[in-house]
Amino acid sequence: MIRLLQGLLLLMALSAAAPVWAREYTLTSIRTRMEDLNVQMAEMETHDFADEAAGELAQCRLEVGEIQGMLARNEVGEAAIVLQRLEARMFLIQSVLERATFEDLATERETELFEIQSAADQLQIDLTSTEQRRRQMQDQVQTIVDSMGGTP
Amino acid sequence: MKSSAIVRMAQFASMLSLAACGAPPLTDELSMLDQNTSGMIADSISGTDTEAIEDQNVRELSEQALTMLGSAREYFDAAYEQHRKRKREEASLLARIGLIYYNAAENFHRTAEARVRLNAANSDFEVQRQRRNEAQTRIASETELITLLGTINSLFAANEELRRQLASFEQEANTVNRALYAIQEARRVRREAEGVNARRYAASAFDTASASLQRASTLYDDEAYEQAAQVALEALSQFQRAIDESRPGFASDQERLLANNDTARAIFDRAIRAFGDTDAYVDNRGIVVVMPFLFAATSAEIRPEMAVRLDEIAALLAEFSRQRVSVEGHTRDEGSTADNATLAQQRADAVRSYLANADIRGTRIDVLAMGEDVPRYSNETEEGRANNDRVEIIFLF
Repeated sequence: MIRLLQGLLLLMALSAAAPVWAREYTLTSIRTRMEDLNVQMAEMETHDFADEAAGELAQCRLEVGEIQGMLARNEVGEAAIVLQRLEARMFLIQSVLERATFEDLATERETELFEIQSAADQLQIDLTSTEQRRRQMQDQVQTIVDSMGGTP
Repeated sequence: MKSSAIVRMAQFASMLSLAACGAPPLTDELSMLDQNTSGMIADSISGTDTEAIEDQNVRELSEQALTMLGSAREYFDAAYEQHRKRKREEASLLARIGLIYYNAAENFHRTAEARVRLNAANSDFEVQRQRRNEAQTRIASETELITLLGTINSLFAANEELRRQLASFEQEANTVNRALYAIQEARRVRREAEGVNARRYAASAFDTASASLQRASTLYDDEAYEQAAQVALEALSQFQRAIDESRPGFASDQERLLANNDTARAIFDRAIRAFGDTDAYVDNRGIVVVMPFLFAATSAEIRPEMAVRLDEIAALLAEFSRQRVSVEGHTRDEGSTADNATLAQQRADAVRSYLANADIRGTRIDVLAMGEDVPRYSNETEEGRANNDRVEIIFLF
């Protein structure tokens, strides 16, 4: 009962005193969200990260501890702020990972493209040279055939 | 008007208001967020027409960048609101969150750009790969054609070399044949010269011609065919001159030989009637009767249709029972010299046997094998070669 009252009081306090950006957060919703984020972080930690993402993820872990400490002290408003920062950081990590992945892929593919284009250009030069050689030999044969009074 | 411009105008108005009431300047985070969310990259993100993007991945990334930028701006507004209320700490906290969203927006935007680059590279890569493969295929085809043309060229060259060799061989063969023919003709004319006793009546010319003929034979053996032909023709001409020089003396001598010999005169008259003055004549050995075409090539068997000529000889020998004859066997120039000598002997023996069968005693008949050495007819033609398969019968004085 006491807990219920404490929760109601807190909810009233939040709705009355919390700033605009924190009004939608309650102790319960923060905890629920924290559980979701923990799952996401655990999943992320199974991958190898670039330095930047790894640093952000470490920061996330610190913020989780920070939020838990705030929640333990019933500092819901402050916890909500940190939670929002944590959520933003999760998006940042996702974006860093995707950017690193696709920029690497694009660069790699562009390098391959350059190589194959160079090879194709070289082959084109070779082809021109080969065609010229073939035409020369064809002319030689034609000359011989003509000198023999025949037709090819 | 674009939303960023509206936001900036509102910010500007707020700043004027703050300045008017002596508000503090923006915090670093808020100032940075302000610059970022109204900067060029933010404009680029905001200006993206996501509906026009065909690639779903790029479109989703662009939409995500837009969402992140929207969040960054919301946090800017909230931070600015706190700042306006002089709550600097809250303002900084919110601005930091906005900056994180802005960074995420930029990252998603860059990721979208990277995916566009990747798509373009993939597409162009395929084009270049086809271009490369096509060039490789065509080079292989051209190379194959070059190999084929090279083979044809080589065949042409080989053919040309063979033609050249053939022409050379033909020329050489012609030269050899010409030399051989000239030598045989010279020998034949020498035989004629001997027939008119040129050795006696034109001794100098005959000796000169014989020396030339000997030299021609030596040159021929040394394979100097051009020179051999030339020298043999000289010998031929010299023998011919010797014959011309000898004829008056020989005719006179022949008359003399026959004038004192009634038997010889009678035999000669009969021989002229039977064989004609081409195949019957007188020389210093006696009365010569030539019997061409008496044998088939390489054979020592008398042709049946020619036997009648030998019957005439047998009749003469029967009539003039004390007359002795010499039978000379001859061959054409085909085959080895040794084989032809043997064949000539067999032919002379066959004639002697034939005459013996006609009751002519063998003791009256001498045989001599001349082989291929004394052709009377040209060996250049088949007719001449067939005529050289012959015997010559000499009624000896």
